[in-house]
Amino acid sequence: MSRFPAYRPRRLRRSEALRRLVRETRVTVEQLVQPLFVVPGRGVERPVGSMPGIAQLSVDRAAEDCRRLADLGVPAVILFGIPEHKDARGSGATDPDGIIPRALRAIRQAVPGLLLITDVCLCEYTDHGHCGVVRDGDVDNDPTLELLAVEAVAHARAGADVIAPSDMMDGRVGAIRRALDAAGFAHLPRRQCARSRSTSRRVPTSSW
Amino acid sequence: MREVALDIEEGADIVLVKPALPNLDIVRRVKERFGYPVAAYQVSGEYAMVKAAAARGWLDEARAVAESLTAIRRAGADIVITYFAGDVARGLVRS
Repeated sequence: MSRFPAYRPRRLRRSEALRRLVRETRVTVEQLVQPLFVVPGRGVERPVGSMPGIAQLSVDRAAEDCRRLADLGVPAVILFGIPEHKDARGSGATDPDGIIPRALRAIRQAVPGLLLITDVCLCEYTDHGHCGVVRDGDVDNDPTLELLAVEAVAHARAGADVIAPSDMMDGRVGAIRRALDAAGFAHLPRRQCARSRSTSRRVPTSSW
Repeated sequence: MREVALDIEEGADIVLVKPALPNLDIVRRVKERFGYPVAAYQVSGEYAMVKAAAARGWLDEARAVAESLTAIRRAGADIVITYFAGDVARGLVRS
């Protein structure tokens, strides 16, 4: 049974002001997080070919970018690090003076109020590109957990507000949580990632 | 969904679904099932597609971005990680 003509939906669509008033779903900047790619060096701004407007930035440039974003009202950034050197164990990831800890300290100083989220994974730091330690041609889950935990604690000590692991190792959330708690960061939230890694919507030049 | 349950059991505070757009059903189900804060990642591939199409004049970038971000939010994401965050903040994208 139609409610028409008593009910006429067009009445609420008459003007932009009315539509805005009754809109159910809104996108506001308070809900958004900007990803940033941080690279070694100073004054570096290396555009990502397939992503016009996005560049990999050195720590100093990233801090400037964060200042601008914070001034615009963006509440948070998520940092992906690209290290100086890659090796089989991804040791750049666990270095307390690695690219992400350096970026965290610089950004924290430049923009104290900005929420800093860090990507925790090894794939950007390993020379083979896998998200963990490789043994006998396979990613060795449990030894990788220890490295992820060390990486997360290094980020927390350098000032990260939220730890966001993007590897897909089994048990990583628990391993990182226990390590953060043991290191005195019980208050730090961490988030996990549920996703399929096999997706076409990935650009090889990006961090994952 | 089993993996999300496991991660929450292990102490996750926020659940991230990535990439967002092909997994809007997952965003919705995670939100409804667990009631945890859900973050969704509008990934680089989507950014690249929108930029490429817009550069050829095939797509209105601001409208396409607004539509996608709105869809992600409507699916249930509390937080959206997006390369367009700065553009939204500058008022270039209106929902």
